[in-house]
Amino acid sequence: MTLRDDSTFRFVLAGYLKHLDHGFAIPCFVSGNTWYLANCSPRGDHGGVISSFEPFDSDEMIHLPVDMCRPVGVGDRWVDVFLWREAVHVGTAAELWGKLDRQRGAIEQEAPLSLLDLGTAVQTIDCRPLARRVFTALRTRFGEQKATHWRNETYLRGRLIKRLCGILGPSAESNPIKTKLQLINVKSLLDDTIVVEMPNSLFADLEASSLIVALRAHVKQDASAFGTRDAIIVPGNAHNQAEWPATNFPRQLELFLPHAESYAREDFVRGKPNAAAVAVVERWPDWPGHAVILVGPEGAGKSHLAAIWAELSGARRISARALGGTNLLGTLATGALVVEDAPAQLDERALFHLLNLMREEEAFLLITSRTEPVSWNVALPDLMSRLRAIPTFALGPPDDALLRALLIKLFADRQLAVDEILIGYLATRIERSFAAARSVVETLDREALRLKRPVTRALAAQMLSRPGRGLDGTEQGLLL
Amino acid sequence: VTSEFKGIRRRRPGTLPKHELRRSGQSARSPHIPDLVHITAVGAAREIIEAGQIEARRCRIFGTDLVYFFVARPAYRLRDGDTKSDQISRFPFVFVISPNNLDAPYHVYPFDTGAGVAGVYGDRADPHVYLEDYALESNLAGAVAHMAWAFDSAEAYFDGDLRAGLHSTLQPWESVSKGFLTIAQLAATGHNQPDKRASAIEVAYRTHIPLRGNVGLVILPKQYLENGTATNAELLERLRQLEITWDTYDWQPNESPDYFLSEITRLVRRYLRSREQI
Repeated sequence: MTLRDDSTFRFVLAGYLKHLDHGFAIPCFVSGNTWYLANCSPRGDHGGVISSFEPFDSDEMIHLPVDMCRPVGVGDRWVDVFLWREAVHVGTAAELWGKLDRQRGAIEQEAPLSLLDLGTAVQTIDCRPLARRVFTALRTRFGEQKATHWRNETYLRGRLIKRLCGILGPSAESNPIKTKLQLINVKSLLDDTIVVEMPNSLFADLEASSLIVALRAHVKQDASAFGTRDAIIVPGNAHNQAEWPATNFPRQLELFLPHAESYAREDFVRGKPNAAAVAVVERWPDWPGHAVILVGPEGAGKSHLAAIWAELSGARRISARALGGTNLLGTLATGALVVEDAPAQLDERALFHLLNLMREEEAFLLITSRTEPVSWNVALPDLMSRLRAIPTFALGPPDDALLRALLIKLFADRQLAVDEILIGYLATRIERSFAAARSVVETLDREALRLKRPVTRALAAQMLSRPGRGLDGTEQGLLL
Repeated sequence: VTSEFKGIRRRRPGTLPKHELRRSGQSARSPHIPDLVHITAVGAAREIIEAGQIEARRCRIFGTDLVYFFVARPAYRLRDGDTKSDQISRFPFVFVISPNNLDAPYHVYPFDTGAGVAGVYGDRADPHVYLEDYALESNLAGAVAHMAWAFDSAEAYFDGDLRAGLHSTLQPWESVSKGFLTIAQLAATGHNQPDKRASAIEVAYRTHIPLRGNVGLVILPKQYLENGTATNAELLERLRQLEITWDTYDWQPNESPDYFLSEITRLVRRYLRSREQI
């Protein structure tokens, strides 16, 4: 079989194959007289890229209208076909999320799993509330056991496996590793602690690479959507809590002091993904509506940018969860205000009142959030319409240049001067996200302190790979 | 031997098969047989559930109506050489069936005969050994005996890991057994690209197989849990009426066929373990 991996060879997304009449369909591509399916990298990631094409044929293929066809090639962003109520939508995950704006409420009711799959691929969305609603919907329809099974075995396990595949890189495709991944189990204890059981050898390799703590943090964060108590990763041979390794928890003997992250204007890491957000902050006070919303995932730089703007405008800063018990007029005393981390425990009436006061006082307002206002589940119709009118600026996931700059900045925040070799080494091995950058810098800093060694490429290589033996027992080593 | 030889050839009518593997199997007996697995594409599975039975269809190799299963092991075609990607590998739907109430099988083979005849096992198949030579006893005991002889345990069979040192126990003239071992190594865990069909015990029946009372579990894409359309709800209701439990795998349009097979293997393994079959 010939896989077309020549980036100059063009294909056209011109059809799809459905197995349900809603949600994702399989996009089909044509080149010449031959139909193809595309492969995605990373696998199953709707935010990934097309890595190759393979021949395919089916009598059940449905052709797209000409105006919906799209030329694509290897290396292009993955494009999905999403079906909803007789309509066909085509686009990247982010495009589809936008196109389905008006239908999302109905999709959430009738096809929450499909919406969650779409949402998790959009970087700027915190999908935990949606995951929680999927859980509730499944519990209502099929009972607690089935809902818990989905939560543990499909959602939490699936996200963990995807992260592990990202960490392991190409070695995740080797048969020994695939077998190990297959043996990972996620279960919950009576006290609602999530327990991830790993094959002993996989656990040992990840532990040796200091990755267990970071993975546990990810699982814990994902599981927090369901109000679970805690999360822990254990080797498969640890049958009771007394045998659980301490690796999951911070080392007791280590003096790891919290560091101060610089919010100085000159330390903000600029790049294409945050260019629009930076521009609007720098354009102040030329804000036609006197308010903007900055949206981005954790660590994207929202707070930093808000701090820069507060410095510029003299704004006070307040957490969204504190709005309800605050003298709102007082917060606008300087004529500018930052409201951070909306919509966490948002008092809708207080925010509505604040927006009115802001207009009366001709004050400026900057709101930061991990998610766009349309997903805040605002009950007050007037507040929702006000929020819709406020321009939103996204801080997208880091591109290569931004990731490298971010790593340098995060090391500098810890008063660590590192060389370009280390940065290049890390940038090509970690997941391209703000969270991964923070995690790797924190882990390297901690290990350097513990081992009393400088932060170098050698230390990173030692931490991220086991010399002479990788997880699959080959010579390739473990890649972050 | 000709250079055109690709798949395992059929015996000429009137010649007697060697049935050497049946002899091999007689030395070891085990009382239990794990459930059978039938995998099809989601579209076909809907029809099966609607009909309430897995229907025997014309088999071009054996020239009769047959319905095929593998013992315990979820195995289906991923890609055969130059063939195109197919529906099953993209939308797999799994039936796990208890064989205890079924009539005697039409035949039992130690691998996927369709793949063997199609040449999937390539030049590994001994050209002097014909398809019929590989046939096991046409009953479930034959399958169990073969499993015990070749794999030691049901779990090792599930993983495709042959009994260590088995080859050295064979006499030089035991060409069928040697041919089987050569083919079966294609399914071993350590193989570069294991094809689990190469040692999956194939059980074929000539009659339709009713779902009720025989199917214990179906595995379907998770999207079937959504209300979406009435047809989904109807399908799950039909499964409930048939007293069939279900499990789901995480279907994504851009996942590899390999991943789906891996997930389904995991779910079947867990089910069989829960029933202490492997």
